[in-house]
Amino acid sequence: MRFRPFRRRSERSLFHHQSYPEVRFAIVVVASLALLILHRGRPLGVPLARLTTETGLALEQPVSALAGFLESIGPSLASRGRLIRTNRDLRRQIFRLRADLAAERPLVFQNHRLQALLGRIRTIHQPFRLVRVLRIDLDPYRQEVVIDAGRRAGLESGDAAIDAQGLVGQVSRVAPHVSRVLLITDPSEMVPVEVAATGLLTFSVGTGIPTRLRLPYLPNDTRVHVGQMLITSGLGGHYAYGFPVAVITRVELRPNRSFARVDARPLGAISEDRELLVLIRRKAPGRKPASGKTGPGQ
Amino acid sequence: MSGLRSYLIIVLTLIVAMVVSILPFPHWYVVGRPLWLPLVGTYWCLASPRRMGIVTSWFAGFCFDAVRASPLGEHALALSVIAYVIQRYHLQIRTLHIGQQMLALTGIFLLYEFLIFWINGIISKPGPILLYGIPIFVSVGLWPPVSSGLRFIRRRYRVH
Repeated sequence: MRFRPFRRRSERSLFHHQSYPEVRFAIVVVASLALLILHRGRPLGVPLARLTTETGLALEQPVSALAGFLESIGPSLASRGRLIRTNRDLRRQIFRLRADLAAERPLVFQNHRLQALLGRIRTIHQPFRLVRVLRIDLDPYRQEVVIDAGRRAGLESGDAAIDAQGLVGQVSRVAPHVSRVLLITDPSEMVPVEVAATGLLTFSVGTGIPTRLRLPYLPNDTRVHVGQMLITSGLGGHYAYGFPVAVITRVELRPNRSFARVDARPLGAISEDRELLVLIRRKAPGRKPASGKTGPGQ
Repeated sequence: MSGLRSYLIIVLTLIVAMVVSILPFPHWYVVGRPLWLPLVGTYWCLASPRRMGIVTSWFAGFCFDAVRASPLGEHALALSVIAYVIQRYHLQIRTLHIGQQMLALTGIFLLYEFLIFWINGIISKPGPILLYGIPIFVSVGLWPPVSSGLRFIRRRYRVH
């Protein structure tokens, strides 16, 4: 139907129920754009956005209960034999890991002594909280998980989340009982890292792909190699020093561009994690992980 | 059936679509995650344009934004734009053969994903563009079962 403002009365009554979709369309477009502009101006500063975010997060719990129910159907149908086998494998794994841990203990002490000699102080010994992952968003534009602990559990936005292998992300929004963790692979997330072997400082940027990070600010004369480990550098004070982040998977020097192309694979098993550790920040004034650190070559 | 009950059925199916889109799933699924809300919204826009139109789609998108904590208005805008397109052409699309309908929907979902990509690009960083393409084809492939399932619901509960 064409938009004709001056219709005859008879015509108007005939098509009354769908009169002027253009007007409604224009209204909703203007409303959406207004909301988006408000969002762009001050993310979450708008009370409306905060309200809807908290309501949205409150809905996570029933949804995750449903997901838990769907998941619980699986194991209850699994055969007894398979459960016994899994149990045995897990016991063995625990035993082996304990043995590994015992073997590593002298190394930890040695490392502490060496770190003290170098003047670096590791601050990994923070209080942490084990949380369960309720939901994973791995869209290209949104790499985020929802966890089952929030403000009541002492979480704040900015707390680091790790898993057994490495850094996973940071808490971005907090509701009373649930919160969101922005993953390091989110396109808008940057992590200050250093190459563990050389102490070279740079940033890693998320790509939107759960298995890839990019180091976009390394010049072409950088000496980095595939297989080198990246750890958090602690600069900026957001993440403490020394968490494993990723392993370099690709180095391509591009003499015709300003920077080399360097990709890395995150160590944290982001898309498979069911549990995470959230490091709760102390309010102590001594929390300066980057203190005593100097540049590359040390 | 009374208008209220028809609305209730439509709203219920939309809520189910939203819940299914935010349920946690393994990674291989998430990359090709079907656009459940646009699928269900499109069906109702075609089948019952009096009840499901631009404004209802906008509200559905708004709720989806709130649930996903995406920028408010993002999915609302994208959904209302495709609702407008469908409302303009619903009589033509309804008469098409199912294969031709799928072709038409490819264009409509492409528009939807492009809007999401665009808005994300303005607000933050959009991520790799090729990953936006996969859900379009998955969703179009799901159109025959989804539409016949919803048609069953519509006939069963006489939603007009």
